[in-house]
Amino acid sequence: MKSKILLLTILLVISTSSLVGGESPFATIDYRTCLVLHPEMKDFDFVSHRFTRPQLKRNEISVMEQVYGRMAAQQKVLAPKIDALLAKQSKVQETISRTRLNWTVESTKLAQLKISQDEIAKRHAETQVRDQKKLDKLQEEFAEIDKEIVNLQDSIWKEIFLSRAETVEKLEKIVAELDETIKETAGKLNVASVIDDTLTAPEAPLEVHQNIPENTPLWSNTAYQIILKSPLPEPNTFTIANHWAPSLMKTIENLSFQHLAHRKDVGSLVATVRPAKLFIAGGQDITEQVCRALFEKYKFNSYLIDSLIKGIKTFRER
Amino acid sequence: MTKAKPKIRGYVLPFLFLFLATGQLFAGEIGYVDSRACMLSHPVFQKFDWESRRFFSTISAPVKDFAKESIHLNKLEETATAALKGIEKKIGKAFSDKDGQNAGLWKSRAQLVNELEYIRQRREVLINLQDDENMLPDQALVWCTLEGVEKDLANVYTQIKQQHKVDILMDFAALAPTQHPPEPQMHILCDRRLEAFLDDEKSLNSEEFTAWLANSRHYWQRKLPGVCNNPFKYGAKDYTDVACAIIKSASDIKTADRGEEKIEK
Repeated sequence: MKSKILLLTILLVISTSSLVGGESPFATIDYRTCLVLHPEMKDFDFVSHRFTRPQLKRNEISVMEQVYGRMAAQQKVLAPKIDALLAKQSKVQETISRTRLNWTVESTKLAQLKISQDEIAKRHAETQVRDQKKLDKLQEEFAEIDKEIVNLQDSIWKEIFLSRAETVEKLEKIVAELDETIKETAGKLNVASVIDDTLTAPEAPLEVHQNIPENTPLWSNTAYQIILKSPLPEPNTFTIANHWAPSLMKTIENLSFQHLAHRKDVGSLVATVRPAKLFIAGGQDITEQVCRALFEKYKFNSYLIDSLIKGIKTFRER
Repeated sequence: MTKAKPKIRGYVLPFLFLFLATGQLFAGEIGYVDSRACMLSHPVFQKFDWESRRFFSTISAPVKDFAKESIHLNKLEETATAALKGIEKKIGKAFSDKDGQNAGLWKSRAQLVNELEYIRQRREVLINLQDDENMLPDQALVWCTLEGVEKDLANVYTQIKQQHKVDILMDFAALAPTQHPPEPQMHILCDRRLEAFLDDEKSLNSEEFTAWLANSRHYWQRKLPGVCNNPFKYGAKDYTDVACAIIKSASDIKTADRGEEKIEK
């Protein structure tokens, strides 16, 4: 009987420990950081918003000079065409805005009329249909011009950069590869769901961080200094500290709030503060694991990987 | 030896059962919905006036003409009362008849009762507005409609959880960005490419790299909003379309619940 109970207990312990010992069902990720640091992103050019052609011999100055020469000549020929198209596009944009404004004005006019609700609704619908058709046509025209401009730019930059279509295709591949890596990493770590918890609040712009002095006077004003140096109040005894404590607290409160009102940068910093972490305990962040998997796949050397991981850490902890 | 085998089998089976049962318990599906989309799919939002922030055809609707609306309400009341009498007679007759037909009659009766309740509450609102010489009912009445919408949404979420065996249902709106990211500082991005940082390992721990990374994240979030703004990256299934389809068939909420009137904020 004893052996039966013992065996059953062991089996129960094994079955439950497989659940208890498992990883958390949720993990967090900083998706944008993973995307930005995808090894293929090294070829992206923020000036032309396109990827550089991988086979381009950028180390050979003479070759590059020739390429740039041809590009400049082509640009000279096509620049007037592009300018004309841009002017045409801006006119279309103006007409779109005017149509939208007319729409609003007409709605306001209808609201002022003393006619039945049904009649207003009917007229409103008529205006909406008429304007919507016009807007659709204008939007189409705008897109057509945009396409033409992109084609011209593609033909100027074709030796150096991928075309817009090729860039989009490459981006889709990068995103698909990143998603697959997240899936694989989650599988390895027994994670059921991965959440990006960095999106809810925009980050404070860097210049706001930089403009705040390290020793902000909020914490170093005289009232704080007094309270820090004062003896602690003791309950149920008559001491000077006890006597002055409430009014001292009030003074600090007043000073803090007065001070905050004048410090616009502190206010905006608080408003745009980094979002709180989704899991205070129990969750895990897989940003580093995903980045590492991608770096290893592209055969980065281990020193570079360590430096990158350190860089990511510094960025995320700032 | 031969006796031991069935004994072991006797333990292995309960063990397997326990293992699978507990495994099943913890391996449920994880899903998410965008509660904003679901809320706007509710039929009452088709009659929401964004300017006055009131719902039309509910007790919170703004008044245009007191006399006209009063006549309209009287007519509505007449028709609804007559229809209610007719339905109640039919219910009496159909009492011993088929269940399906009976249920349909009770549903129609409930609709008429709601209509009469709306007329009663709307009249009260009109009286109060006339006393205050105002055309716009209190915001609190809108709150009552929203409370009704939320109740309907909660029912839909429960339905999804049961029908699709979803263990955890999360809200997209709670994690999605509420604002556009700041405009990236293009000069930081154009001055140095990722390639340049990778070529110089020491630079990866510099302020310059941190600034580049921050701006680059903003750039791509603006460029690929569909990819970047979805907080659920793996393992959670989107049930927003399912929820929206169900909520579209919800009925109008025209009145404030009697119980809720007392706890208006």
